[in-house]
Amino acid sequence: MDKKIVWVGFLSLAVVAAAIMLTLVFAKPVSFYGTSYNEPYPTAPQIELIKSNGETFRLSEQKGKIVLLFFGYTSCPDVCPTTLAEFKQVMDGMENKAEQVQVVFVSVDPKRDTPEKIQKYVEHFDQGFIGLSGSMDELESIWKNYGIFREEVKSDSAFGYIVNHTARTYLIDADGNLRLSYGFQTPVENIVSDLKNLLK
Amino acid sequence: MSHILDKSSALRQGLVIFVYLAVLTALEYFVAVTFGAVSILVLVAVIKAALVMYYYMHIYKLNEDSDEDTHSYSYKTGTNRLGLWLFLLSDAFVFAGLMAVRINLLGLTRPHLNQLLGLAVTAVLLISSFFMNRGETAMAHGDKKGFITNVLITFVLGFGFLLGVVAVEWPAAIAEGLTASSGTPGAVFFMMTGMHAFHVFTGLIFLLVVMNNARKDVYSADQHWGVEAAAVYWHFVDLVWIFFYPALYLIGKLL
Repeated sequence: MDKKIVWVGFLSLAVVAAAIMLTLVFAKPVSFYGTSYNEPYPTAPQIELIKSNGETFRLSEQKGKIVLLFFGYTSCPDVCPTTLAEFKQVMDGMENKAEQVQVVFVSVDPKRDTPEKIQKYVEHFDQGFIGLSGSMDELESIWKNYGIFREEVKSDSAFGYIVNHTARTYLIDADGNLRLSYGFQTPVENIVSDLKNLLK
Repeated sequence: MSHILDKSSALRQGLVIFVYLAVLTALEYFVAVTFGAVSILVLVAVIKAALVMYYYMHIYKLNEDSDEDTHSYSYKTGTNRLGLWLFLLSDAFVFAGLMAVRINLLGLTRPHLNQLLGLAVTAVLLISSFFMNRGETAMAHGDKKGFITNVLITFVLGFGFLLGVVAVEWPAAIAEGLTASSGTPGAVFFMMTGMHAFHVFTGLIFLLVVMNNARKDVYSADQHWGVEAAAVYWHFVDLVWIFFYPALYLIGKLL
């Protein structure tokens, strides 16, 4: 067979193969600031609690939205208000996509947090936030499912006791899967960037 | 440069080029559905276009030394060839204009279309180009029967492509709400496929004309400019689709 035509074919394929390899090597994969769960992403454990208005909140019904899930309590002196204030900044940073993000704040202190109290508390930060509490039994299984550590510690403060608790934020994607988690005080713009990438 | 091949080598060359084109098309489709890198789709289209222009359209023949005798058939073929290519160049500007419109209006997005249907009609047109090349090769070696058979297959495939676009793809797109007046994506889609389908249609008429001429023994191994012109025109229509197919079906995100 004509040698030239073999070379033409070989060269054509080699050029395309080289271009594909270069693209794959140098293409920037979407990288997230948050700590990513491994694929396949685990389904977020169900959270089913009565809201302050008497309706039942089900995490599974939030599909279609990205949920930022955080655990805390209303008497919390430091971590919780800081995180919620940052979430408010995150929502502002999301601009017209803010309605596709839902912040959910679940109590680690059911003895003092009623659904009404915690809902009122989160609304100080943003009207759209959801605050949830329930019985100790209900919450204990949720804490366990999410690997939340909490312990009551006596303190001299006016609140009587403080609750030490895990301060990670869990990002649940629009399909209801645990996707990313963030440590305390992750910069707001990093969370906004991840959310925007996920909503693309 | 000598490009006179014996018939079996010429046919084999046509087949090898067809295989290359098919592999590149498959690769193109694979790239589009996996990681969709536009640069690679453009690169593949350019390589396919170069293969078609060189091996199927014999663009190098424009460079052939012309006969001294200005009344000879070969001299006239030389000037005819230049005229045909100038026409194709001007026609290419129409298609390039449509392509520019598509890039400008839709950018890296594309309308929702039936991917399998798109790939199918593309394959049919590519196969028709392969048979057109066989037909031209047959006539260049004085094989009238082979010519008519292959051009008939080309005609059937070309007609199949036309039906696939106009009678299947168009109604399917309209059923999904993509009409010529539904907005920019629809307007771009119908303008591009419509203009191309019109060229396929005229190409089919061209094929009928040369088939009829061949039946009347107008052409010979040495004198068959009409056949060459029909073949080059037919490959040109395929060449346009090499760029239009990825532009409409593969590039960018779905709207």
